[in-house]
Amino acid sequence: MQVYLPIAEMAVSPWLMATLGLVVGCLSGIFGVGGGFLMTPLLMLMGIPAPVAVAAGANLAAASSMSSVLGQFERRGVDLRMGLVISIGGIIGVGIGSLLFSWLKSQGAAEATVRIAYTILLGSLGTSLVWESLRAIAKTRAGGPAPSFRRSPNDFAHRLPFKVRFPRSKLVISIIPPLGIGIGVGILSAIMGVGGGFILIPALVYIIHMPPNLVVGTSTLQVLITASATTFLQSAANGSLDLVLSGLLIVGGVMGAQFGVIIGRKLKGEQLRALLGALVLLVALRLAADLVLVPSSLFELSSPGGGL
Amino acid sequence: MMARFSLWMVLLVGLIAGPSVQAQSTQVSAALIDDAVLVTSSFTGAKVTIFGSVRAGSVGRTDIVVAVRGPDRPAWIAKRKRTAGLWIGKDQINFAAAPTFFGVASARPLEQIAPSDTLSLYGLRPKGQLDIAKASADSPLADTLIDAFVAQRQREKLYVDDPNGVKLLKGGLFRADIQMPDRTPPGLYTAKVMVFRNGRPAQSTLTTLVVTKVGAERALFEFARDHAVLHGLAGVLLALLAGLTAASVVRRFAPG
Repeated sequence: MQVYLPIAEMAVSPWLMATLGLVVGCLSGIFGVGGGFLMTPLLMLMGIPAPVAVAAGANLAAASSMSSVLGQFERRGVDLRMGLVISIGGIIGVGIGSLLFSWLKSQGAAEATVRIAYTILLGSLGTSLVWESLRAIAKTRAGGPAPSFRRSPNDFAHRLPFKVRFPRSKLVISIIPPLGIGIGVGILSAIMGVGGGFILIPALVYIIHMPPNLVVGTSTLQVLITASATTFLQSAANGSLDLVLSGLLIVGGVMGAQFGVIIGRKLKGEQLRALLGALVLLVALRLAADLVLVPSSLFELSSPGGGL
Repeated sequence: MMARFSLWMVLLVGLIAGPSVQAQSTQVSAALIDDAVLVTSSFTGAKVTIFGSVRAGSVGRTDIVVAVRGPDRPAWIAKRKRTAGLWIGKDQINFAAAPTFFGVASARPLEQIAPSDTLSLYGLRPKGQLDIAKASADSPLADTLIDAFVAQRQREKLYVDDPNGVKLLKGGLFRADIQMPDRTPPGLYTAKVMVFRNGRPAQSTLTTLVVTKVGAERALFEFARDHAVLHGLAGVLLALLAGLTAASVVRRFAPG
């Protein structure tokens, strides 16, 4: 059975799409990421035009994160204030990023620089996440105390101005680091076309020093806000949102997210970080392979706006 | 009165006798079984069928070639480049217009019907139908890229060449079937029927068909185009409601 997509102008298997949504929604529930880094290339592989794939991925991320964030709120696992500050930064970042993107495109070679830099960034981030969390797991196995990422009082985030209380996280820090992280993630997502949740999580742990039980929930909230904004903008500005495709993905995605939350609850903080690190490494490897390996097809073709 | 009657008679006799007087002249007429292809939610492509009749002299061989061409759209193709061991950058050419669908059917391979330059001249080869953008025309890679473009669209069944697509029936009747994949976009399509006599084009006729979205597909497409803001809000609302529903269902049946 096939279903025709009115905006993508092609037919897809609804079961395949719902399964894809289920898998990505599950990841979203476990880690609090949007899953665009997986969804967009997979949809494009099936011949769906790039702008339609991006919009559908964002819509799925919004649904999956809505599905899991409600439970996180009930369990007091979300720092609402922190999530909002980062999201505001994220929206500013997307604005800067889109301007930067058009400037980079006009520079030609700069696009390659961004791709290489991004690959290295993800590679080193993934490696250090895996390394740090494996050491922590070994330590707790040996009977030692779990590592704490609580902030020392004369850390830079305490010395910067504009201090704000984040009562849920029990932090009183300058608003600059969370806002800056939001802007950074926003810029990346505008340039690379992925949400950036898997950069946000390590940043919350290692830079903001957020309590581990709040990290996934707060990241999920940030994904919910930015993915909703992206869905809306993609539709309003490009007309690239395909509601039939979104619907199929979302049916699987919201269920997957519930499974993901259950799995995520069984994992300890360091196990979660180890798995996330492995995921980030996989993405980095794929990007590196794209750069180094002989492509399966030397040719790419499309119309402006994708598709035919 | 009498003079006028005889004038009519001459005209009438001329009309009937005309073709037989000029034994060499070829006549063709053709019609589509369906001149509208409806794109519904279960659309997975369509078969365009053309029936027709051809009247030609008995000497030599008559061939029928049917070409269906979809609406033109701009397109590009790029070849990836390797710089310092890394696959960075690409050479690209743009087409101002390229047919989105181009299907040709015949009863035997086109190369056997007419010489290649004749086929191109009469628009039966996809390569000749690509309108390369001015800025790209001088690219040294243009030829390679154009060939790759056609090859890729042939793999995607958008450019089709079916040497068994035309069936010759008795009494000069023929039937042509051309399969269009699900990705053929809506728009106005032209179907051209050409008759070749001994490798030379003798006669042709044109007809059109429309591919159009209907029902829910059309409603959604028009909603997205005419009310982009509302459509975006609908997408967000859909996501939030679906998430809310899943969360409350799970809480109800699997508490804790």
